[in-house]
Amino acid sequence: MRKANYSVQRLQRHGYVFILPTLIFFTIFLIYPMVSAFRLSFFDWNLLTPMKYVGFKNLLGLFHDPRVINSYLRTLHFSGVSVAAINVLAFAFALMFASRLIRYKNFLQSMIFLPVILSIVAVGVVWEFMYQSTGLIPIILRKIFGASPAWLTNTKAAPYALIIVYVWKSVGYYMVIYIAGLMDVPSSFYEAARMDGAGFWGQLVYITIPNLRNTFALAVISCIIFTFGQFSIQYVITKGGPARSTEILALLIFREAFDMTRFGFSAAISVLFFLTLLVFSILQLRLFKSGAVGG
Amino acid sequence: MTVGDNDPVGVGGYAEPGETRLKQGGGGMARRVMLVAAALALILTFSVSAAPKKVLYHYHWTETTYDKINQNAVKMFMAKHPDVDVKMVLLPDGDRVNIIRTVLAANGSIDSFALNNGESAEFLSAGQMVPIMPEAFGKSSVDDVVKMWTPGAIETSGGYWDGKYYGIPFELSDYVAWINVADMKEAGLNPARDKPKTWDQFVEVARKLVKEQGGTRVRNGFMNNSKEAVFNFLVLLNMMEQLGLDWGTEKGLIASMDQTDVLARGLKTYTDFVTESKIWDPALADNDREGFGNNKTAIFLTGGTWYWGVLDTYSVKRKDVEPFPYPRFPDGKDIGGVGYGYCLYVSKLAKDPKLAFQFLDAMASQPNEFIKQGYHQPRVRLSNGKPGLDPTLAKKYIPYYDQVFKGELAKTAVWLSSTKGNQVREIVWQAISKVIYEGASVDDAVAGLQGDIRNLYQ
Repeated sequence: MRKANYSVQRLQRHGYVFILPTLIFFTIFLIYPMVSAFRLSFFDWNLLTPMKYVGFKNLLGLFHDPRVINSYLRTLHFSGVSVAAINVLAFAFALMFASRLIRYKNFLQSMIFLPVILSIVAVGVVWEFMYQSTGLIPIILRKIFGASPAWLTNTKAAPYALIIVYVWKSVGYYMVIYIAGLMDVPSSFYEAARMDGAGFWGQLVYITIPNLRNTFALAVISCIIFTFGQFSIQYVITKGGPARSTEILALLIFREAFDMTRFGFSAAISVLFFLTLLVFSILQLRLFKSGAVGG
Repeated sequence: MTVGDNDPVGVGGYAEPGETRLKQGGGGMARRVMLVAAALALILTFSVSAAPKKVLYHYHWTETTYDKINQNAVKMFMAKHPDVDVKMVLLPDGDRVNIIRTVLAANGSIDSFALNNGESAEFLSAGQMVPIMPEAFGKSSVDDVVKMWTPGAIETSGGYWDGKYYGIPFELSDYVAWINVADMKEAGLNPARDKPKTWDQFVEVARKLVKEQGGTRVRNGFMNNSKEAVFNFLVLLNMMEQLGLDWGTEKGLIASMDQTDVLARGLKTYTDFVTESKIWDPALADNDREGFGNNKTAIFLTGGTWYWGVLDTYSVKRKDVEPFPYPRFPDGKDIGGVGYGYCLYVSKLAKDPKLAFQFLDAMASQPNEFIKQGYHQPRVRLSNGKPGLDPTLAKKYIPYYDQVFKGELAKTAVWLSSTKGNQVREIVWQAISKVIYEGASVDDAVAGLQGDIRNLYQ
């Protein structure tokens, strides 16, 4: 018995050796920078002068800085609307492709998935041109409705302009997740439901959605985490404008560090950012561990 | 253990089984000693010839036409100093300042670098650069070095700080206004007579140059870059300085915050372009230089002599374009577009500051090559006493040099020299944005500007 335990322990030790390269990589490039960012948030530093310890000034300052508050709210808005739109559309597309009535499924699925693999910078530049007043989108809207908003220079329209780009870019990825989830639902459930007289909505509400509980949890929470960390679309298309209406947290962190050269304050914002994402990550872990999903 | 045990292919050939080299006797030993000596001599020869060179790391921005001339300077310098290896780190201009900042923070390899006058104050106040060393230029005093450039060139391009000279000018230019004369003719204007001289005329002319097709604007009368704070800040800075405010120094900027009426007049003049006269619709395009090159705007204000080369990459032809002096306020000061420039600096981390200054001197010694590409280096005299920039070349290679650029360069608005310059320009851009994007009143925006600037410097 003792011998068996000993072998298991040795085996475990060998396991650590195998994961050591990855562990070293993550320690250097992930854990160390994260710890450094926490430390940096207690200092004022522009990289040129010596670091000055300021205690909790930066962290407390977050709650009084209108720019940070604006960014946080903008991020919540961007994430909330995007996550809802992406998941509803992705689920709808997945259901559509599960139907036997749809033809050219592979082609259509590829078309919807295509934006996922495109370069975000290239996509941003093209959409920016399309949104300008002589671009494709205003031209189409003017033809149909007789008017079009100034997509990128109106503080109310600009956030939605970027949400549209982000949803278009991401929906294909989540569609694939939902398709995979749908394929796991045994077809016998549907056959039984049909025999009991359930129509499309009945099957959707009583079979599909309950059986996709895990998939929904995975897709929605990952989508929140990824969306909260968005940066590129805002950086390329609006740089946070007009009047900071699209200045989300990741962009503000970048600008505070590299435009304003307030690296300590930038680190403090990234701590706030981290803590917010941590909540969603813990939620995701708890959901899967508790068996509420994944059981 | 014997040699033969582990060295089957030894100097004496194959060892026979059971035989070891030691048994070969004195002749073999002598031969071996000779060979070892020869090998040592060979190593010594190589190590002498490969004596480590002094390495200079210079950080500069990259630009195709620039790079060739700069590489030529490096070659010439290395030919003159065979014991020196220059590593030129070429960076995209937008990333340059932060990469330099990072290398300095990391105590990395950096002997010299280039900064513009909007960037240098923060670095100079932090003591990151070495003051000019006259001996590196073969001069006996800093004054003698300063005299090798046009008067005020070092100050304008940001190389002067707290009573000392640090940088040597590499480029000095100023923004002028640019107008599409073909658009003027199309609008029934006479380019020779109708170029605007005041801001009121500017609005009047720009209004006529606005073009709409089917109810959609296809050309602005004027535009600036609506994504980058700095260009809006610089045009407004020009207006404020024309109106008598000192936005070139921190002290002046802070003092100007008490001049509410003047601030409001400047801000209103600028924001009215969008809100009142509507000569600028930011929804049409966001980049003014590109917009002018593709005729999405008939006027823009942020181009220097170098813009001729940039224009060649767009659809609008040189013949359809003319630069002209910035408009003025009739009751304001005679001040042109903002003056800007780049200086070359020796880092405090330089291993041999004198040598680094000698290299920078070589870098800034080809003004006649640069002027052919449209870039103005204000060098009057080289260190060897030879003349610097040939003014006839400027006239030859830069259209309208004598008529516009040269005269305006003597009247430039002064770019704010502040350790918090980046934050100031964000605050100013926020004030502008409030009016043009959020519909706030100019008075509210000015109040916000005053509060934010005062808080910043408190």
